[in-house]
Amino acid sequence: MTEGTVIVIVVVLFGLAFDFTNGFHDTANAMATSVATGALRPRVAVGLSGVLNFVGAFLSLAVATTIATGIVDAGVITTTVVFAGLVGAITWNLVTWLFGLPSSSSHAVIGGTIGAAIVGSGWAAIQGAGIVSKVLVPAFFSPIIAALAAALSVMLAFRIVRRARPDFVQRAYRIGQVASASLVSLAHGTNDAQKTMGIITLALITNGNISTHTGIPEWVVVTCAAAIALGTYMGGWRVIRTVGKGITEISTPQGFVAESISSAVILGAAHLGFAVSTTQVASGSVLGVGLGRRGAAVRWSTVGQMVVAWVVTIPSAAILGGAAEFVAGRIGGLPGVLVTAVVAVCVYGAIYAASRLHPVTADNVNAPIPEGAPSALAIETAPAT
Amino acid sequence: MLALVTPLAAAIVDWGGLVQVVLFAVVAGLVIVGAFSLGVVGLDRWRAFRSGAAPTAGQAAESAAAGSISDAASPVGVSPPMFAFGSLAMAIAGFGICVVAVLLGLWSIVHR
Repeated sequence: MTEGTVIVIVVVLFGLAFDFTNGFHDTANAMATSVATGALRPRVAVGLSGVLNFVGAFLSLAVATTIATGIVDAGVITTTVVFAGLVGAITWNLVTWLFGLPSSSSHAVIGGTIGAAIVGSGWAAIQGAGIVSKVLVPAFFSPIIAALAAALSVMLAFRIVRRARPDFVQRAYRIGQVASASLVSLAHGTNDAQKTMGIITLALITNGNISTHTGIPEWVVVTCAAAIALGTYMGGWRVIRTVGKGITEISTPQGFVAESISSAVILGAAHLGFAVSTTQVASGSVLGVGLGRRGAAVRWSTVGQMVVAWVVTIPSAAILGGAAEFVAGRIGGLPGVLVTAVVAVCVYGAIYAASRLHPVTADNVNAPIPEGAPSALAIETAPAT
Repeated sequence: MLALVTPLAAAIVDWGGLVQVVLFAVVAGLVIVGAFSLGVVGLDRWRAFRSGAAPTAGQAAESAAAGSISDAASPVGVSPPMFAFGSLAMAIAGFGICVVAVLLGLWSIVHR
């Protein structure tokens, strides 16, 4: 086995790990409101979302190889750059998960790759116009568009159903919410699993394992679908809590509207040629249904933390990816990749251990947030008797 | 400053496409949510009629005077069965629009 092959194996493992984190980080996009309103029990919600992500991963491969196109000069992409980009993306996904912040996994992997490419080949490797038009502009506008559409739609929904029987309205919207959340899960599986397929395929092409005309190997499709589905099933409860409970208290009609708007914006934008972040659209929709309901309180402190996370995702992932590329490049070759991988795994373990200090699980994901708590992750404990 | 930024923004940002996305999101959202909500109201009234709890002409008039959008389906002076079947038709049409929207969504996922 050559050194290059071992590096590719490490890249594949980290690619699948990224896909896994992408799944559990983004479960909230589809299922946070369904969990928060009680439309689905938490375990059922993540199970359904996992299955639909798995199915979605097989539906289309059209954009799989376009992940870094127009953003980083294709000539500078090596297996080490891909590896370092993944290390940065996974680390940022785990850090934001620890704080329960719904940041974009796509932006994390783009940022990680940008940072690794800059450290590996200098600033000339970056295509600034592509970053602005393909990443930054959609990142700025997509949550605003989703919030606007959700606010208007939720006003309309409440106006229409205000004289219907509340218990029937709740039941009907609950069914509608399951359908709309399922569509978001399916779209997420199609969109996000493809990104990892593209990254792994890129590494295989770069190392000469397959040619550019081979297409995506079947084992890559199957393993990526399984990784994102498993990650989704694990349930990123911390992010689910923030989106479902932390932004605003959501009623069933609001949950339905938020999911419907998310799927409309994600699918509509993709159809019109804009790649938007599922996470930002979903969070924007939840914010919108909070703003559109008279008397509903929006926790602006949570929204502020979320926006800060969105703004710093690409630079932070770039710094982490750049640091990984620096270490791997300094040591060089297979030893560099292995040392970086071991350090990264230790960091991931530490983040996981930190999360266990204040665990958020399926059992307490819907627990009330204490008044004035600085974070949506705070769990209200029952007063001592 | 503005003279410098405007052509730069025009070159980088596809404003026409962005407006299309905004219009699509707002219109699609209002149509889907509106249709589903009318479906819910229609079905609620149909079920109320079936269970013998149909609104009286007086209730309908009071409701219409309040100006609810859903009261478009509760015209004063229409017999209860007509009113109920009108509600059922509204429910079928509303949910039908939503089913078409879901099918279009699935189509766009598969044919990307």
